[in-house]
Amino acid sequence: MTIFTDIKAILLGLWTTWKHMLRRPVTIQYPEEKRQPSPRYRARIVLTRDPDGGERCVACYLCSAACPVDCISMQSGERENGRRFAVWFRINFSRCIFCGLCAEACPTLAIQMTPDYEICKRDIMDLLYEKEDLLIDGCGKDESYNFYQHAGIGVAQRRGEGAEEKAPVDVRGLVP
Amino acid sequence: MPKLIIDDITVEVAEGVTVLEAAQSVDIPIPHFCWHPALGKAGACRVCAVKLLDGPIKGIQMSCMLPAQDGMVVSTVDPEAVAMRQQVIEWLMINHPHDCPVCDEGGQCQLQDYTIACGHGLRRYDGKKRTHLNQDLGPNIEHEMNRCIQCYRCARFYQEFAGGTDFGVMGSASRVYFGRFEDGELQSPFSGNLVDICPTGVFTDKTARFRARYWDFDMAPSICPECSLGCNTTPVARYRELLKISARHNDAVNGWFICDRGRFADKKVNSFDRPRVPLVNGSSSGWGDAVDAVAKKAAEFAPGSIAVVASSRLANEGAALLPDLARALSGAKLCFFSNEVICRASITAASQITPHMAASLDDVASADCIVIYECDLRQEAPMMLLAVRQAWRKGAPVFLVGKGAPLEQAAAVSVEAVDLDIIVEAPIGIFDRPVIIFSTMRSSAAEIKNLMAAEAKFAPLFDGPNGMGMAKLAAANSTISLESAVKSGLIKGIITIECVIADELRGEIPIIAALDWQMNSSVKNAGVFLPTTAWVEMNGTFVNNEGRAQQFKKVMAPGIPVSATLESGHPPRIHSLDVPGGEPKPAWEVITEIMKRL
Amino acid sequence: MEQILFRHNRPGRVVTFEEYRSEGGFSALKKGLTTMSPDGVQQTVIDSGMRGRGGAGFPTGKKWSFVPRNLPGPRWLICNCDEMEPGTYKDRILLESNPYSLVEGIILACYAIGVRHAFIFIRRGYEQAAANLKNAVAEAHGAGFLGENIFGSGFSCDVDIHLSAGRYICGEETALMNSLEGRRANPRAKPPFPAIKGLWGGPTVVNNVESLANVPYIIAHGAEWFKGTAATAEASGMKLFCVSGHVANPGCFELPLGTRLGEIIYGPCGGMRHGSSFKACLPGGASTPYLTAEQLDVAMDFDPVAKEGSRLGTGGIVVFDQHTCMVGATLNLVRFYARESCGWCTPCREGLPYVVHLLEKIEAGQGREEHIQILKEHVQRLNYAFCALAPGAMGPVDGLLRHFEDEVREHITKSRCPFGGS
Repeated sequence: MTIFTDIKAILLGLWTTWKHMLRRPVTIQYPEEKRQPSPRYRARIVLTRDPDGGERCVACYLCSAACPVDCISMQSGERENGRRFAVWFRINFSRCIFCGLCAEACPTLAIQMTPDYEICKRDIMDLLYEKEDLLIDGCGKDESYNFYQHAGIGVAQRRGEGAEEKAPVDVRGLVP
Repeated sequence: MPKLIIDDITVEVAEGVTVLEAAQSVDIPIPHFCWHPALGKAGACRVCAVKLLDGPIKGIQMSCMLPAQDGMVVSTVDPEAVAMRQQVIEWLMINHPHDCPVCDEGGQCQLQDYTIACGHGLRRYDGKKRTHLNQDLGPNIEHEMNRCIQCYRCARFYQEFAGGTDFGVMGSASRVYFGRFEDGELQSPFSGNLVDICPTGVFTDKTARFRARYWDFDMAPSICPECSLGCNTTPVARYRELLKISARHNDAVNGWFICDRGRFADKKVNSFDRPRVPLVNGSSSGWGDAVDAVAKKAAEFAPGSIAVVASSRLANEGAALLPDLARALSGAKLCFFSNEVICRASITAASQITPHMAASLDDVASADCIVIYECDLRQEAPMMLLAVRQAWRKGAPVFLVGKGAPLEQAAAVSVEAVDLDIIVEAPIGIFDRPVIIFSTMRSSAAEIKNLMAAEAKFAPLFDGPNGMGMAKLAAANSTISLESAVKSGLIKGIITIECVIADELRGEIPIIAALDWQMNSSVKNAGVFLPTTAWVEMNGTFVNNEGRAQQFKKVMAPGIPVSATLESGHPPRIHSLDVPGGEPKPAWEVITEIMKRL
Repeated sequence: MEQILFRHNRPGRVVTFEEYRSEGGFSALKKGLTTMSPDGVQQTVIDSGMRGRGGAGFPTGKKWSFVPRNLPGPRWLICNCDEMEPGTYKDRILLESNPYSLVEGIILACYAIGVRHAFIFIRRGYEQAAANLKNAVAEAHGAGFLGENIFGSGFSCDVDIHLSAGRYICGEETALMNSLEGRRANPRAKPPFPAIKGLWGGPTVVNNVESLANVPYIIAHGAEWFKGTAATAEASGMKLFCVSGHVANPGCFELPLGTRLGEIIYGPCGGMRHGSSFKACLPGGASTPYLTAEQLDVAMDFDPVAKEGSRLGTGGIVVFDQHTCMVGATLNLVRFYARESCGWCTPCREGLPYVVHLLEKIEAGQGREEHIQILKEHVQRLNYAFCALAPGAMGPVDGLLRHFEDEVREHITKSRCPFGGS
């Protein structure tokens, strides 16, 4: 009789509710409890340094070209020793979609994503990060790569003294 | 007219045209480094390999070296050809440094483009790279020899095309080095073209080093304002700053190149002391008030006592409005030139010349006899000298007439010229296509009239980018030179439009208003100053020395460069709709505003 | 055995002008200039079937005939004495014993082609040969065989000796012309061919020393006689074979063209030296693929050697014995070519160092299986270089991969050179 089916339905519903009421909730009580994202989680962007302490970013404009929402801008300059660097570097985190294409594009492993997602601000202008806000002292995810050791332009070591280089050609020499 | 098939497309070309050019004519691109339309073929790089499947020649051939023949069947996509091109790129990349991120050529690099196009990928060669030391070639060109792929374009351009002698190739085998034989600055007035011609980043523009990447450039077709030849350029700007000038291709005028003067000229557009705000008696003012002040001041002068003075810097749109402005100013005197002799000479040249008689730079390069009359092309029009060299290379004799035409100008492009004293000594009568080059700044009206009676084409040189335009307008309207106007004693006030007047010439006569974009004495002494836009900040027209009207387009908005808006050099964090320093308007617009109030 | 070029040899010294004349020297010149027309001289050389002795083997008379008779302007003859092909020294041996045959041959060739001024382009290292030639030219001039109106025939001719300032590439005829003109010694594109547009834009013929030195004898004794001196019916004339390597008696021998390789090695060369057995040889200088023991009975003539997949080239035979590591030998040869590249085109400039690098790795025991495939690709693709240096450089590599691929593989699998090389 339908009355029994109806009561069964109500009891099944109530039992489902009680079953879940006594279960451990999955809600994490943020901010008292925090979830640990994996190291590759894409959140706050940083500019890293190479193992020798120099800034990795050579302001090559590849990250700003790769960025699908145009939130990165910079201006490159040249130091006394020929090292190319970013005179200023700006990321507008209110536009950033944390896709990671900039980190993928970076040829020197400078720009990297960290799992630090706690960067909310009340004033939107505080989300405009300059180079001082982005540059960190560490190497980030790669402990060994120094782009200038492979570029051959005489910054990390003299011309022709890199591991993959022969000594510079003597133009006026006749010996092969 | 050989008819051949390239990738299933039938194409018919003129005799002597190569397979590469035939393919380009039907939009089939074939990668190439050493071939260049102005320099011709070399056969050095071997990257233009195609496979001839059928016809008089078969097998892998270099398309840039092979003249097209009837019945050829060419494939650019045959696997063997593709593999050959890929191999050539692999060979070139064996020694190429790992420095794309710090190289200015990145983004506009032929090596990058063709490496992708030819499908070369991961490096399998595990030997060491050969390296080079660089030279200091001067303040304009940066030298980075590690990147060289030995296409020989620079040596061929510098020595064969431009006649330079201090730069070339040294050494042999994989040690070849392209540089200056002795340390020092490059001497050729066309050395800047090395920047455009080098397919990699060996030669880059030092004046714009590391400023921006190609994909961020603001560019538009433009015309060089340094002389009256009207060479086509592409100025490059970014963040409201003019970064550099590149050459733009025009077969009739400058071909593929421009001279160093046009390329590396001081970028006055960006300069700190450029006046950008309307001024009335030295104080900043709004546009409305400033233009009102001009009209009010002009009304105080009796009819016919104002001189409106312009120079050949003024674009044709503004120049064409000046007769109307003069009328609106109750019959002001119209002066398109300051100096009387130059004024007469320019008007004579512009009146005598017809389209049939006018020689373009291409006409000069194809001439069979060149006469340079009393002018030094190194000062006046370097690109004309380059065209003269091309004519000489094809066998045309070059005659330098008069003391005002020094022999050193021919030596600058390694041309053996004949020194003559007077024009009648030049045997132009025996030639089919003689060209006579003269300057309105060095010859009198009478000399020019006499000269232009000859049976030849003529290449007159004027004193500014719109020289011919001004001269033609001057001839068509009743104009006098400022010198004559002042001498007549009738002038009591001057309005200058994009020109500088020598203080000695002006004497005590006040400058009612000055319209300009550069800081100069006329601007400093003007009662009212109205800022105009420079040529890169507006659309306009220059009429070049042969009477060719060429348009230039707006490259950037007028305004203080972004890097100069804050002391730190950072761009502002908050932007507004009003661009700081964005007040300048095109000269023709300012003239219209003035006329509206008269 | 009858000798042609070596018939005037004197032990330990150069033959004198008088001795040469007394043995018939310059009589061919007189015969040609006074009794034959230029076309006649040219036709005789064509009929003799002589092929160029400088390496390419192009029929000499035919090359002369490419110069159009009616083209205006000066025309040039260049004798290419820039002998730098490794393993080749025959021109030096000839000129150090008898420079006069060459001078006579040059004048006859000039007469045939219509050349007023000839150059002998000689490598700077050949000081003795150059001195001999300068002397010979002066003596010929003094005797009236050079200069104005030779033998009253109306024909005038002068010869200049030019010492090369360059390297191996100057042996390439168009690079030679560039070097003579004072330019960088890069080769030129062909067409236009030198016979139409060569030195300073004029028609030019470039011939090897040995080719020109044979001309007086062809004129003196006739085309049929010249053909008859060869060992086979197809071949023509005799050849200076300069042998080096692991033979008992290396040296330069004038033998009939078509003599079998084995006959040369086990004949005048006295066989292999003590302790050596024949493994392989270069038949004609360093740019030719190896011939192996199975090919010892190939007739040393242009076509038979080509049929065996190699080239007669200059006839410079370099013999390797069983102790020789073919990888090391090939590496040595390709290193030479990599250094001598002029640097114009990419395959030669970059491809040859790549091949050297791979062979170095294989020889050092660091080779990998893929290297063999890369080498095979290079053998194929270096054919598309600007001149013949790169394809020539790959000759030994081609020989290595065709005949000794298992030796290469042994290097790779054993990770060392089985012959104890570095």
